[in-house]
Amino acid sequence: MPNNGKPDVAIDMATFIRNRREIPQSVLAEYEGQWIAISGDGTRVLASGPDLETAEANLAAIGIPGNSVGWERIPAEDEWF
Amino acid sequence: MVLSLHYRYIHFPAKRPVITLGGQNYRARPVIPVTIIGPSNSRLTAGLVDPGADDTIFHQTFAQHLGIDLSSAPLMTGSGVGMVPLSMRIAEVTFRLHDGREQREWRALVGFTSAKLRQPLLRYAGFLQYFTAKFDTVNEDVELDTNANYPGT
Repeated sequence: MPNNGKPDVAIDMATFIRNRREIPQSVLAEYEGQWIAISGDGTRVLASGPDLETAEANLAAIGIPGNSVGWERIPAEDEWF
Repeated sequence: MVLSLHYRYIHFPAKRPVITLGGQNYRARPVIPVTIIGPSNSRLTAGLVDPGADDTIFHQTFAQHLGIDLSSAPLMTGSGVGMVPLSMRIAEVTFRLHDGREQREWRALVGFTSAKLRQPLLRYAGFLQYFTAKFDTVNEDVELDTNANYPGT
């Protein structure tokens, strides 16, 4: 992979997708309007922030590389697309 | 035999019953996991597959973390939803899609913007131009088949 110098952290996508779908809405609702970092196994939220930059910084602060997680923004319940 | 990629729609709760959907309490959207790879790093994120729009767009924060220098990247300007002006810098990335069974990977030109985005937008240029897409709203499944334009593996 073209990740010069940084390992391409392998995320098992089958596991990630399956477990991500099982995170309860009640948990995700806490992060409405925020960016979240979901663990590479898709089971839990590791960090969050009002924007991606802040969420990245919060994840880095706990020593977890940003390429080992899934990044998502949880839309507010009244957002239209 | 090359199989299609399949992704389930994601349900997003609605604050109030959605009148246009018969009062249901959620909206189902084709938001799928995609890995975007740059010169020095990668990010797995979730993007909205949006077949009615032109360019694939990410927030510029992604570019910083992927090691993409946007300072001399080509600039595109225009207007989007609500005719709000939008500018974006264009750069090449590698996309990787994996639905848990099948994987596709290709290089594409995408936009990076400083404008507020709800989430990455996976649109025609750089993304859907390479797929035949089927949006099954009954089973809430989006199916992606590579087409003759597909440049990847």
